[in-house]
Amino acid sequence: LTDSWATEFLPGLEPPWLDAFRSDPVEALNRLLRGSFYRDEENLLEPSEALYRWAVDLSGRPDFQQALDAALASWFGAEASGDMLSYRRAWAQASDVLTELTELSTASKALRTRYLDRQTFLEALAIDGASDLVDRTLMALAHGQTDRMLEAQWRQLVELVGTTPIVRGRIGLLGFAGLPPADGEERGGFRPDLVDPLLTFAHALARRVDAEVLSERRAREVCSEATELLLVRYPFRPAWSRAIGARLDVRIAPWFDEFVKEDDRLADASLDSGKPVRPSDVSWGEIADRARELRKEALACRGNDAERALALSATALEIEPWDAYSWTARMLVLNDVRGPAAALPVAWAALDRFPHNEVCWHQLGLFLRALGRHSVAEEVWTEGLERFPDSGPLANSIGALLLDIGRAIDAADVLEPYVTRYPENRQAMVTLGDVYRLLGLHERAEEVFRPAVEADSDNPYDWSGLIRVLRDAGRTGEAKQWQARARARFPGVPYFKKSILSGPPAPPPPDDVSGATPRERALLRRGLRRRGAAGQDVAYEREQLLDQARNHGPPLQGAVEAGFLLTDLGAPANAIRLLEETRSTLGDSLELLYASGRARRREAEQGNFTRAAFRERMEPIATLRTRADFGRPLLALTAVRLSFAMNHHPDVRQQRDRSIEHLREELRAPTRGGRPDDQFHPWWRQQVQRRLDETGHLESTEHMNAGIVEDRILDDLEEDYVRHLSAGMVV
Amino acid sequence: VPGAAFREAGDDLGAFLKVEGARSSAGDIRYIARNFLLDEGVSHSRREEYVDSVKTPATAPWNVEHDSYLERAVAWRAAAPPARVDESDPSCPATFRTGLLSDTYGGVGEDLDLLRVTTPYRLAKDARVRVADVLAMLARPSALDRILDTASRAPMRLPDFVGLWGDVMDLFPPGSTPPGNWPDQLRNRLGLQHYSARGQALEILVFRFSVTRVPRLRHATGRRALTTPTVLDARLFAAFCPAPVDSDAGRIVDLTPGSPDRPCRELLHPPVRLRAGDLVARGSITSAGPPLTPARRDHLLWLRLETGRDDYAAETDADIL
Repeated sequence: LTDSWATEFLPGLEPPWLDAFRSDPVEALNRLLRGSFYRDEENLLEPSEALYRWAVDLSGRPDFQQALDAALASWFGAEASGDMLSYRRAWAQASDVLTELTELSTASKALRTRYLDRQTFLEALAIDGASDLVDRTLMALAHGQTDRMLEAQWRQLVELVGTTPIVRGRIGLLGFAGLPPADGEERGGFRPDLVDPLLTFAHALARRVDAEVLSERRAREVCSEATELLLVRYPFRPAWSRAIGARLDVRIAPWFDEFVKEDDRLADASLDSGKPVRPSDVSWGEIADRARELRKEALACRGNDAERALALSATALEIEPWDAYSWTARMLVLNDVRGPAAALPVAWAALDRFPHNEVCWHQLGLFLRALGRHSVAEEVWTEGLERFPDSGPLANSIGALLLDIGRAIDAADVLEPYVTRYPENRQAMVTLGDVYRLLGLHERAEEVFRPAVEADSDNPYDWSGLIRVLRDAGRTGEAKQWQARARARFPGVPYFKKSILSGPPAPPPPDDVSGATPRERALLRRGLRRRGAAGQDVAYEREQLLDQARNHGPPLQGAVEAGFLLTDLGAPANAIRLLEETRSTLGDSLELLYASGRARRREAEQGNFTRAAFRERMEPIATLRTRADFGRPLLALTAVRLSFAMNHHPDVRQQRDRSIEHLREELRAPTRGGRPDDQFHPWWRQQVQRRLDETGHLESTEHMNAGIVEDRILDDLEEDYVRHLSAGMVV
Repeated sequence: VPGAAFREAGDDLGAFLKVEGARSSAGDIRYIARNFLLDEGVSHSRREEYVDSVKTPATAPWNVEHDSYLERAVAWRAAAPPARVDESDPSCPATFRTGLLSDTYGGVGEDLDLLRVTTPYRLAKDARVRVADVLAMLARPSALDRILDTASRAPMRLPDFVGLWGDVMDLFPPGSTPPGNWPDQLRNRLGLQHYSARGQALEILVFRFSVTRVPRLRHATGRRALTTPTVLDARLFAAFCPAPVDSDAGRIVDLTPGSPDRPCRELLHPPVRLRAGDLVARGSITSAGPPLTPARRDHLLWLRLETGRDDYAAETDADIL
């Protein structure tokens, strides 16, 4: 370890222990855990808390995590030495570290080996008032499992075999929760496999009550706490209620009164497997890996197993909606299986969430173009190119589109500056050559194609381009010669077999502004507003939209888009009414729920509601959160939680850094509006907390509505954020 | 000098403390030794007990042996918060057996609110859950309530430090917005130097609860188990500063640079059962703690002013006063 980690800390504040750790990790760790390394102002903290904090600070440095993992593994593997009291404390501290930093898998395995080999020694070490040493060891083992080897051990604990302390029964329950999925098992939602251990634990407690070694009241408290803990980790209350309720017997039933509701038995059971909430004991990395596999598989099988591709891409989006790739994979599969009209709503939604993702802009334009909505595609790609001026696909696509619709001069305006900067982008260069040809600039066009063809380009478009230029310039003989060579060079390309005089350029299709959906119009209007030429007639717009939603186009899509725009136009009540009508006739859909949730939030913001009224208004969104974790409320809450819980994970940090980079780029360009989508930045978290405190302390974080409140606050903070960022006050 | 047990002793430990405390090049760590020399709240019997534990006076082993002493003599071994503290019981932690019991604050009625600041990590460790669990439970009062109960039963807990709500209530004005950087301000005022955001922001939880939650002493009629903190009640910590023996509560070193305010008061109590409703604020510390030396100088001047003892710390801290 030679690199300094000082850059991860405020200037001059790198903990001195890290210096010692760099030079001799195991010795430094030993001294820290035993307490013989004085830690300046952090000396008041237990060693494990100090180490946990430093690990969080160094979450972007995998070299630190690897070194810590190796050092801890080595520490656990070494024989006990020195003063046993400090060794015991050190063991407990090291276990506490592993309980939190579950990614230290080597150390976790070393602890397990040591524990299984020397259980008696550990029990002996734990006497004399330190009985929690074993508890802390078991806690670490419960949370760092990579296989199911300890399942029998957890079973023994929840059964409270012999004189097993009650606290260990609860740890056994956590051990079950920490077991990795069995083969073929899907994770991410409700955990029915935990119901049996929970009830076993409850029965074991009941036996102790019956043996008069435990009070009924205390048994009930312990049981409730354990149940509550599982409910927090896997927040599917109705599912728990049904699963527990179905298996309760008279002896322990009263202990579960508050968790088992009769209403839940009647509720829609399909909710059980509804949208998964990222559980606290599954790491970001595991979910990201799983989603990556699902996306890959979905894209691979879309040609031969459409239904499977649809299902896989939907699951990937469900478990990892934080990743733009999940959205693009979904839209690509939909496009291939059901066509661009089916992919379009997903593409719009993706752009809403990932405005900093170049692929989202490009892909949306492709679908629009495929549907013949050329002007909207142009608008989308133009804005995309403003954001990503270096994007070859965007430059080329917009150039090709403009060329196709007969606006060759505009196409040249787009492509010329791009190919000047990126002459190596052959695709854009070829399109520009075509533009020159159509504009009658034959010499320029020839300059584009001839050098490539003479260098025996393997791109048939270079050859066809040169042939067309020569033909248009009246040099037919020369054109025919090159066509003959091209036919030999590319025997499979039909174009070279046709007559050189065939195929006059097709007339450009008519402009299609009238075909734009309301949502698309909203985008257009925003674009116009940016140029200072906006003129709005809200009443007229509303009528148009309602008319369109009810009478034209796919009803669901039209209603959703009308809902969005009505909300944007300040008429959320109308949006809600329209969306509810649509729901009653067409049934539920994620899109409808999301649009409805947005409208309700806006409506609540408009009114001067009390907190209780606000919460009541938000109730439908609480449903949305359970059933369709589709929108920003969830993202906001999840971001806040993630930034707490997973701040140490490099993926989170990398994503955050990328977002910040995009924001900075945006702010540097004066014509572009900044949109703070960086949900992982600590500044958000601090601001959210501050605002939460301002708006009524923790009351506002109660229940599921916390995310909505946070989301509202996030909205309020956007301007602040941009201002801070532009002033260099953030990061 | 009333009861400065460590200063009076002529043994190895006393000599070690004097040498360590006098090392002006040693940085903040020297204040730890000075605090031992200053502390008038440690009885001679408790000092003897401590000297028996700490056999090798040198800084690094001292840290270890001090921790061992805390585990043996100060940690609360009972499996649940006590209903009543028997200060005459030999198994009672030394803090309440021989400590300076606070007549003023231990004897008040129900109108005194106490304040505790902690971290999600600390709460998670005590409750035997993970930090992620605690954070999720903050949004579920029923779950938080239960986890706080479990935390209060954590074995081997050291006495809890508390401040007085009245000393910091200006940071939380009812009905209006607290200052944006209240967590940093609170950290400074309460001398929580260990809550320093070196890199990432550090979350804190603030609990406010009535003094009636603190168990009563068995023999001191009506008194609650509140004592003035001494150097022997927590890990070695430079930002601590013992109050003169005639103070009825500890005085916290205010880290706020140039603060003109009177130092906040601090007390110790045995484990108590907190409830979800006691959690009044949650925020993030975003800055590193200010330097200690100027804060300690101002603090000592305050103590002199308050107690009228113009020579307080004159021997130990002459280099900064």
